[in-house]
Order: sequence, then structure tokens, then C-alpha cells
Amino acid sequence: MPEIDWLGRSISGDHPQTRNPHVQIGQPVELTTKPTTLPGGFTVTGSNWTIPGTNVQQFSPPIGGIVLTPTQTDQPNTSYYWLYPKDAIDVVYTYCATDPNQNQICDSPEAKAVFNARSPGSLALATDDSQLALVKKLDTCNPVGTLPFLEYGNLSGPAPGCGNAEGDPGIHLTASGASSGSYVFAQIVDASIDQYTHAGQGPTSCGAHAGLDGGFPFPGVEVQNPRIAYDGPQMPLLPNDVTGTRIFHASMYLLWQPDQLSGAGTASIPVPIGHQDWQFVATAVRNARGKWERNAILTASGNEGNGFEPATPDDNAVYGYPQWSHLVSNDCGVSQGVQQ
Amino acid sequence: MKTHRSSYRILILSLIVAISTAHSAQEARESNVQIKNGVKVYGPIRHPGATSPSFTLSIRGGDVDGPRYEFRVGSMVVVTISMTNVTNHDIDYSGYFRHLNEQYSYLVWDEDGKPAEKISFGDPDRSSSSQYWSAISPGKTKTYAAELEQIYKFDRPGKYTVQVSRPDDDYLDESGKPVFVKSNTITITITG
Repeated sequence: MPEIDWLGRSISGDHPQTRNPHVQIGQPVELTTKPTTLPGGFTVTGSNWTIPGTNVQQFSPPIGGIVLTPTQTDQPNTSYYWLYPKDAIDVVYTYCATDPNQNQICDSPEAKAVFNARSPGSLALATDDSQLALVKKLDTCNPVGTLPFLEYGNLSGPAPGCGNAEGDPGIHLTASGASSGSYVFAQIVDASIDQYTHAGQGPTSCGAHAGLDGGFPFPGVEVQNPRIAYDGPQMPLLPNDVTGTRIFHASMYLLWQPDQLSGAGTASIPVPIGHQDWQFVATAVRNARGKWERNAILTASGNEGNGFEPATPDDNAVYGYPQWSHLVSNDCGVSQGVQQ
Repeated sequence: MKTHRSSYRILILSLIVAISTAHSAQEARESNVQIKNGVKVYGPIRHPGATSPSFTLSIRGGDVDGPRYEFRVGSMVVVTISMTNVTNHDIDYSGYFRHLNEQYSYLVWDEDGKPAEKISFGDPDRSSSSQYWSAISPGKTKTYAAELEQIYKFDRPGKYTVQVSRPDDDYLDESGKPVFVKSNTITITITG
């Protein structure tokens, strides 16, 4: 009779203390089996696992997009993670044996373990939209001076390229619902378009290619309170611009990474929880005296779509994780040509 | 006479503002988030007066998939930068994304030792951006994978030398400017 072991104990028997083991989604399930050798000259020559539920062997977030490795099911031992909660998951192991005459027999009895893969609770993201669209002068370093920026939020200090600004970005997204583990954020920029006009000319557009914003995980997260992510896209307004419009649509993905499982040999991984779409659309205009109005015209900001959308395994090819192939790349000033 | 007096007043006021601004630029800041007048103010952490660099930088080719030093023309050219806090307090890890995380300077030379050709973004650069504020705990390392082809052309096969640097705002040189901490150099090969 084969046996499935986990964390140093058998979990495939009927013993009440070992039945229905619990694991959190994102924690490693490292299973080993017995027997490894057979009496009478028989040898184990093939293994087969049946593991229902959405599971992967490995998670990796390289710069070209998340890579998920399918769980290996043809070896005596296996290791994987469940990505979504599910109760009463029948994990079954069988093996093939070869007799001394090299005949393969594949009718071993089943070893079955019944798992419960648990979520940390009802996780969600809430959005706090400042509804601030301001034109602020930031300090440039080459040449020394200032350059106006259309901002979502309220930042002051150095312009990009000259140091780090201070202030409050326009949107905060706060995760809630988990009493353990840690939140992980990833932001996909769906559209980032800058439109500007010059006197007597129609609008010109340039923008960024959609992609992952800033790397994985998203860097705009409060260090002291890492359940809060924030963002405040900016757009420079150049001397000959008469208007400047920023159109920004993004999806903030919330993932959750459980604490390390005691006794496990591998680390836990972040699992998809859901995403919140948000936007910022505003136009900066000059007044009759040619000065930029401090308050830009805010067309849209904050939540977009149907609120927080929980992830499902069917969302995309990576089971509801954020999908990207590149970091966001900005081609303003390159392919579109800049008129100044 | 009145005009002279008001000019003096303006001058003195300007001096006071200038002195207080200079003073505040050197103030310590322990956290990226402070509450001022009931409002959150995000900003970089500051520990002025450092007598040695606050961090080290290292660079390697490739990303979390593993080391890689050969790339094809037109493909992503990825390097991973590691910044390690060598102090006994939190240090700043703020930056802003425009084409890349531009708190780092990316230095690339061709086989002849000449600076490799950069993509021109205009001056001033019209590209939009966003700022973030972060920190590194004592002894800890944070990594960033950069796609160098976003700012360098890499349209000719050959070997290129890459190095990154980053200003240490807490460790100033004799003229009061931040010292740039440099990474190791690596060689990458661009193939046709």
C-alpha cells in the first residue's frame, strides 16, 4: 500500500490526526512517498500524481512576465503550490512496478490525501482618490530653473532627473483582509498618453507602451505600512505648450504571500487576489496672460470599472496573475517627434 | 528712501528664506512618510553627515531567471542592480520612473571605450514619470532589473561595458555635492 508523507508524517491514512491537512494558498506542499523499494525483486519504475485545484510547481517573475512551471506528476516526490482556495482536494498517488522479468505492472493501490487549501480571508483593495490635478513648478538642474508639471497629487522639489520630490501622490490603494502574510502589489499600465497643443496647431500625442510599471513588485508602497500602494503620474509642460493633457489608465494587482510554512524546505510564493482599475485624466491650460493655471481640469480620477475584481484561474494564461511582456517604456520625444 | 528700505527688507527676507531652505535640505528624516499639518508628506530618508558611503552597488547581466550576458540586437538587454545598505540605520531607496528607474545613472561604453549611443529624448525630456519613496533596512539589499535598451540603442553587435552609479545624498564631497557610488563593471555582448 503506497503512502503519502508531508512534513515528516503520513497523511494518506485514516488516522484522525493526519486526515484533511490544511495548507494556505501560496505555501509549498512538498510530498514524498513510500515505498521507495519493493520486496521480491520488484522495483518502482513509474509514478503518477493526480492533483486537482489550480496548482503550480514554481513561480518566477522575470522582467518579461510571470512564469509558472506546471507541477511535476511523474516522479515519486512532488512539490507545488495551490493558488486558489478549495476544500476536500483529493491528491492521489499511484506507482508502476517492474518485476524481475521486466514486466511492468501499473495497478498499485491508491494513496490518497485530502487537503484543504485555505485563503487568508476576504482580501480587497480600497481606493483613496485625492482628486487633485495641479500644475506645479519643479526644480530642474540642467539648466538650473524650474519646469511646470501636470501632477496627479501635490509634489514639490526637484524635477525628474534632478533628485527626489516630496509631497503626496494622487491615489492611494489600501489592501485589507489578511491577518498574516504580506501584501504584494504589481501595477500594469494599460494606457499612458500625453497630449499637448502649441499655438495655432492641433494636438500632438505621445505616450508609453503598456506594461509593468516600475518592476515586480510595484515599488510605490509605503515601507512602514506596506498595505498601502500609491501613485502620482506626472507630465512635463514645455515652453511652447499651450495645453497639456495626461490620460493614464492602470490596473493595480493585489497579491498575497503567506508566511513561511514551518518545516518546509522552500519559500512561499505570492498568489493572485484581484485587481482594481484606476485612471487619471486631466488637462493643464494657460490663462489669458500665458501663465499655467494652478488647478488643471480634472476629467476623471480614481476607481475605474466595476470596483475591486477578484482574481480567478480563468482570467488569463497565468491564472489571474498580472500579465506583461515589458516594463512600461516611454517614447515621448523619440518616435513621435517633439515640437518645441 | 522708502524704496531702499523695502529693498533691504526683501533682501533680508530672501536671505532668511535661503538660509532656512539650505538648513532644511540638511535635516535628518527617519521615515519616507511624515505627517505635517495632518497631511501625509512622502519624501526621501535623510541621514546627513555620513563620513563614508551608505551603500554598495553591484551589477550583473540578466534578471531573476539567472545570469545572462549575451543579447540579440533588438531584444531586451537586462541587467540586475543590487543596492546594499552598509549602515546601521534605514537608508533612502527613493527614485522615479521615466524610461528606467533614473535614480541610477546607467553608463555604457562600446568596444573602443567610447560612450555607447543613447536614445535621444529631447531636452527637456517630454516623457512623463512617477516618483516613489522607499528605504533599505540595515544590511539588506534591494534589486532592480533594468532594460537598458530603453535608453541605449544597442543597434550594433559587439561587446559593451556597463556600470551603474547612484548619488549618496547622505555622503557629500568637499563641495557639498552627493558622492556617486559606483558598481562593478560587466561586459555584455550584443549579437546580430
